[in-house]
Amino acid sequence: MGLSDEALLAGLAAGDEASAAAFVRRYQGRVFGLAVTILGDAAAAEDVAQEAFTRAWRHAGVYDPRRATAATWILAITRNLAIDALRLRRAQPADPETIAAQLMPVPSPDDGAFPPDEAVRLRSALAALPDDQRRAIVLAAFGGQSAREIGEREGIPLGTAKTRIRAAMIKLRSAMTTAEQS
Amino acid sequence: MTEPSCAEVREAAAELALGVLPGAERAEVLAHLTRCRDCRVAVQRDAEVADALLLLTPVAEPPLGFESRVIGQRPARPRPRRRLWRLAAAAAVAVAAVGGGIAGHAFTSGRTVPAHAYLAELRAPDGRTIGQFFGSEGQPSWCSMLLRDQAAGDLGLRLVFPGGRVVALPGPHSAGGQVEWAGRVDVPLEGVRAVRVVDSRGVTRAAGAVTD
Repeated sequence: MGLSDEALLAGLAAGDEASAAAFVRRYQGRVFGLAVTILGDAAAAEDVAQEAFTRAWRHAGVYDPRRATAATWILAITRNLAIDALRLRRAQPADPETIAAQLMPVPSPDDGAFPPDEAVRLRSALAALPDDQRRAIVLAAFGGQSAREIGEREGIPLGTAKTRIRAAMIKLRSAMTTAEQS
Repeated sequence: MTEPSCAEVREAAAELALGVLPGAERAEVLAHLTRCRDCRVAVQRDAEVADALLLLTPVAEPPLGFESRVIGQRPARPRPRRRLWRLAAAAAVAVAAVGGGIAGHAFTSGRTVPAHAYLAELRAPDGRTIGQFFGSEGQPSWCSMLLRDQAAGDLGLRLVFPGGRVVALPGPHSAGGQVEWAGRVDVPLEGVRAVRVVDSRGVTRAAGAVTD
């Protein structure tokens, strides 16, 4: 077993190249995978993935393990960069059902970032959402779309878009809470 | 700016957690969250779901050579800049004014900066530069700090050493706004690689990599 994420990030903050290489090896699959999911373009995804690790290196000194795990921290950086890249290209997010389908059948990597049984529960809850709620939350989470943008895309009022995002979140949160309690 | 009610904040919590709440509305909600623990808990639960969704995406191996390209593009460790040295000198003067000792002697001896000095530019979690840290190795060692844009409350220092070792030190009490502080530290500073400033809940307020 290698160093903990916190130890690697402390090394990153100190400019240690070995720590940086280990951190990249540990998370390059997740980072590149998320970027490809959002962008649908391997070349653009690679650029985003490289920039995500560069940002992580630059900001490792402010990483706070109380606020996020290392996995969610680097993936949040990746997600924001990928959405910025989408906007720069003036591209629309991929079809949310296509993205949702990519989240479904694949088992999570056994890297400790997300317990497999919780991932199964969340996938099941996402699949069980009404189609319009699933589209709304996927467009927000993976496309960075605001409720107004979702409303314009789906041809629905702003309030309806907000309601769909909120309703989807409540159901997904309930599934994760059930997972914690069981 | 009209602060929203808890009910309005709970309605916006999902969008805030997903990072898609528009700017003006986001500012109003964040202002409410600074004062409402229950709403902070609600938003945190939604944020955990938002984070978990990202963890569902499939893993995909990047093209060959990706790791070496990333390492090759790593940002260089910042060199001490002239401005940073001037601020360090000012901070060291503050140290001397507070406690004298070795740092004070270094100034009176004609050297502009003590021989073993550690500097760090302090950045907020959003990346803004908001302060500077200065450490002076000696017997005793001294630290000083200038920090802007702080909320009121007690602050602590976390000195990060190679291997992930972290030394926690009491810091200043902030009355809000700019914080200027100097104090004696009873730990060797040699090898310190990074500095974090945390609040009373342990949340990082600022951090920076040390240059020496």
